[in-house]
Amino acid sequence: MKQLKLSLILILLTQIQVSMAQKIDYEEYDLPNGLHVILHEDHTAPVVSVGVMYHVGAKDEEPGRTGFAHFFEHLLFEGTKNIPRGKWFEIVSSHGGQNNANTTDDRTYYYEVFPSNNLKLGLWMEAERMRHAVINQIGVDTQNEVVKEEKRLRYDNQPYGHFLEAIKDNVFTKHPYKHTTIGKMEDLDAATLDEFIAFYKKYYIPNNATLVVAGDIDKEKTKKLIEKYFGSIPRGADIVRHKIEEPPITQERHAVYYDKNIQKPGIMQAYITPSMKDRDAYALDMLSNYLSDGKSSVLYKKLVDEKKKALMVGAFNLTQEDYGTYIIFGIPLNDKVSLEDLTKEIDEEIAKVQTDLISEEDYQKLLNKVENDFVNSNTTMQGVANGLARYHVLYSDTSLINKYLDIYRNITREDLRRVAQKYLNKNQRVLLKYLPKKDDQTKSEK
Amino acid sequence: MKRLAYILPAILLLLNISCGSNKKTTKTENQSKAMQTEDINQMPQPDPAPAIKFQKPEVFKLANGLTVIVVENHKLPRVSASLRIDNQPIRLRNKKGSDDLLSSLLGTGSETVSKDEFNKKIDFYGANVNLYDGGFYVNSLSKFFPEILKLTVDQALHPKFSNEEFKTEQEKLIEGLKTSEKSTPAAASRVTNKLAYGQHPYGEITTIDNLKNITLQDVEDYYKRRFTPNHAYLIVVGDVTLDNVKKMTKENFALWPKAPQVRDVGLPAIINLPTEVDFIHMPNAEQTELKVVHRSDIRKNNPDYQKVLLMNSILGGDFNSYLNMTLREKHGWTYGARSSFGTNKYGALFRATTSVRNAVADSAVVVTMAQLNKIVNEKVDPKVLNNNKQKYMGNFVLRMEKPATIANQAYDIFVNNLPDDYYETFLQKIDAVTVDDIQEVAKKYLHPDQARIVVAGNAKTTVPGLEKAGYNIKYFDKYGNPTQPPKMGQQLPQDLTVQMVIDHYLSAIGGKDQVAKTKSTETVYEAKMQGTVIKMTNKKMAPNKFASQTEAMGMVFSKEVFDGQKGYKMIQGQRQDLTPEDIKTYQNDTQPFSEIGLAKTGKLARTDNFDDNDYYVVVDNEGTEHFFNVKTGLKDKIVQHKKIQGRDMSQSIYFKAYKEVNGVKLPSKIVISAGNGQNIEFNMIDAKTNSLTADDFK
Repeated sequence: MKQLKLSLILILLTQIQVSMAQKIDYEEYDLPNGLHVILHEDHTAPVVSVGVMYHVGAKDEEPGRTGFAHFFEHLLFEGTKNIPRGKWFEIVSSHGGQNNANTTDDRTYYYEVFPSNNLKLGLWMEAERMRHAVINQIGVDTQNEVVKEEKRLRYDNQPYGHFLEAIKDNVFTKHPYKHTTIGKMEDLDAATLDEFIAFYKKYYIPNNATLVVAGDIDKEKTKKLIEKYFGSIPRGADIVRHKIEEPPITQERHAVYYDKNIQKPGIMQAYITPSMKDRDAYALDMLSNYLSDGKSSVLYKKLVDEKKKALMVGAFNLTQEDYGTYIIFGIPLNDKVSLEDLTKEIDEEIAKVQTDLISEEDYQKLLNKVENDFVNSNTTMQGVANGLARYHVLYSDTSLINKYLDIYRNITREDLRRVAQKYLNKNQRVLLKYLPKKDDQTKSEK
Repeated sequence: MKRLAYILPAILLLLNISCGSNKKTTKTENQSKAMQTEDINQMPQPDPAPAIKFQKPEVFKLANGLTVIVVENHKLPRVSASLRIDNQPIRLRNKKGSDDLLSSLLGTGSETVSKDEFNKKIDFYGANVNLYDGGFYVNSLSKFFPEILKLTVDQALHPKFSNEEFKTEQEKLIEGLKTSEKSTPAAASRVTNKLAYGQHPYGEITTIDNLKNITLQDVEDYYKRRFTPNHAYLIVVGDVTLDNVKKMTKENFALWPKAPQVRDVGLPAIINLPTEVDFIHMPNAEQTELKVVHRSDIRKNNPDYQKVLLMNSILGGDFNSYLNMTLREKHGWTYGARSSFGTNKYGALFRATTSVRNAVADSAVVVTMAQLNKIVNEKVDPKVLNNNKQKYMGNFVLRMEKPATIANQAYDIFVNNLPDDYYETFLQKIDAVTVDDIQEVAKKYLHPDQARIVVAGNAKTTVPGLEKAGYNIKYFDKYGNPTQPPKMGQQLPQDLTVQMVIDHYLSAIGGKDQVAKTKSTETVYEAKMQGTVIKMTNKKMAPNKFASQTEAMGMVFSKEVFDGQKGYKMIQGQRQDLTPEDIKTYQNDTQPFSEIGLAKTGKLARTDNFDDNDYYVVVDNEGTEHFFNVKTGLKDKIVQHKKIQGRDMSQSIYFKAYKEVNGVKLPSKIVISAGNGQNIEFNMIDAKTNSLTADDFK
């Protein structure tokens, strides 16, 4: 009884207090050359973020040329017609700024954050990168070595570092999501300078780019500066995209991966889910929170806390533009627990969300969590800029930055059950055993 | 507005930037297109620097010693609070891990709120909460903050430790350590701390043995001794009012009893010794971890602090630094290289760290040390110094975007005993640093001649180069215990001969008599590759007859036959007679056991180790390496080296699960590895001895 009363109070409390989550004001327009511009003015701190998101990622790579999109994230810091080789980072830091870039399977994002008196510099540098980056053999050769070290650092030398690679390789058969973003080093070794130049000319064009300027700016002055630096960059040939259809998984696939950096095995389940733009992707996000986010989540509570069978257990919905991948993983606490046993336990919980509705209280918990994440995603100008760019480039709807919370709020408990029934069935998944490797074992088996 | 008391005038320095060109840009938009093109090829000049607003945090203290720092910021509806207990560290010796266990146990129930109830509420409010042995951190929407804080403080100050939870967390920590047992980066960090800090508490590492040794009572004692308000700080930032925080603090912390004053005993010194290499042999390393460390003597309240900050920034503080520009941008050996000077008042290290590919690890050590020496011995380029000053000034502005910066600065002032205007005058001190200062502090605080060079990687590829470079090398296991140098292959037993290795092999597979009785062998193996079955048949007959055939999908893929005098090869239907050279090779072989001949033609090369077994390596005329297990005598692997398009390619073939066939043992499993993970596993499906005739070799 005590528990019930408590729950009711909690729900009441949440509903009374109206959320004050802030609204992000922005303005957006296109330049005649197709560059999409988004401006957000906020004078809280004398800081400005300048970012450009190009709609090109690992999924756009030619067969046999994996790793290209990410390689550009290195190559395009080498220099431009007016920025000598190796000076990019020096210019940024000697003007008190910071910069970085990142690549996913869907897009590549470059940004600088400066004290606001260097807005012009930020715009100029991004225009330089778009207009005439210098791509030459010495840059390709140096960055080729650096990327190999990045791969060793992040994946090859880390326990469980190949887990996502193994999942993608087994989940996708046709779609380029099959490959890792960092790509195969053989592919990069085999690539020619002409191929890199062609890739730049094809994708690094204003009509495939979104420029976001956020922070301590005057919008009208900023527009004039953007026109000045970006206006004369010629439009490129329109990019024709063909979505590659991935046939659904209809029979449970079994796979094994051996990792020489581990001594405790793991088990992973992976399901194909719809595009991040699909309303169901939002529901699956909530469902992964329900299963494994926080100590009161069902998988943690049951497997780590109560039954003490898992050292670690998690579920996440890897959302992407064409398809998502819903991944559940577990590492047994000790060798008394088999991977089969852990799978059985996880499957029981999936069966429950497919059969029963989650409680009102748990549902409210999921909404609170989403709201908390929303507020925390907008704490810096760089965070806001990235959000604005992402919603425009990947969702074709910038206004989602203010609306996505409502989408989550409109997902019902019935929706959660429905998506579990629709996407999380045994015959729709890959079951991957991730095992310690010895010298003479193959890396993977199918 | 009152709290926005300090406004630093525009930092003139930010205008002071050399750009390579002094051309004034006074053009307006109406000018010709040609002019505009020229303009956009010009790097723009900065506008006047923005003013920095220093918001003063509110600070008050409770009777029990807890200092509360509050920064109000109502931009977003969220609040964060952290409790930090600034106690001097202590040595825990064989109870090291009590602190980790306390971190795990905090939050598993208080006197009035059970673990489940606590977890449920925290998750329900969507908040982030982390409790640990030195305090806690919470972050939540402001509407739920009072409740979250109350729940968290209750777990922290009124914990109810249960034996059941203790046992669970103990096992989880032990199993958790196992997940990084084979990790090279984890071993490198662990050993570096242990060796560099020595007897200092920061040098203690949590091991599985220690964890097993700890009792619940140890954890409770640790909690009672350490979780006290005397030197504690509560930092609250965000959408709260000072009055509310005062009220909440009183309700939640007023009854936290002050601990009796204990006089801190002196901490053991961190000792610098003449430079040496401390090597951790990790045979599975894909990359070598390299850390150059020594004691750091700089503290934030030292007038040299800003000088050291800039000196380090030039050496390895960012992308443009000496270390990164050589190791990454010049050589392409690493994804990044950085250095730092710790300033912790209880003890700190200087560290220069990078991860490089194994083949260049020895060179990376030499280059890294050269950069350390460079900043000690050479004056820095004034332009480089100026660039680094501008970086600090700009980044100072950028940090102001986060309200937590103000709070952290206030905390820093308390904990490190800094003057009140420390941060307001910080940039002036940065600006005053000269080229001479940089070299002076490099000489004073950087000690390339008293550093530990910790290298975690493969001894075989790296140690010869380090020895050549003249370093004194010590060896440690992955927990920092001194150990013998790993077997590098040059210490073969002096009186060992190839014949002895082969004799051991022959007796292992059944004895010389059985081997002599076996005049021929015929084996069939099958492998599955992407659904296709591959069948391999090998026929061998005394004295040197040999035939081998691979088929897939009913088609012969390749074939090789030698009848003692002549023979042929067939690859995908193309038949080729054996060359005189091939014939010579076949004639010298001894079948059905080619190892017998190896005793005459092979050379003992070295010892090696893989999969925790030791091997004698015998190299034959063609350069193929044969690995004989020191313990069992069996041949477990061969490695063939071939030149393909000018590049050296090696291929390993493993022989596993030896099985007796009519008195002699033959491998029932053969794994062929191309080195890049494309392995093929063949399983024996049939084996016969003494069944062949000369007709089988046509």
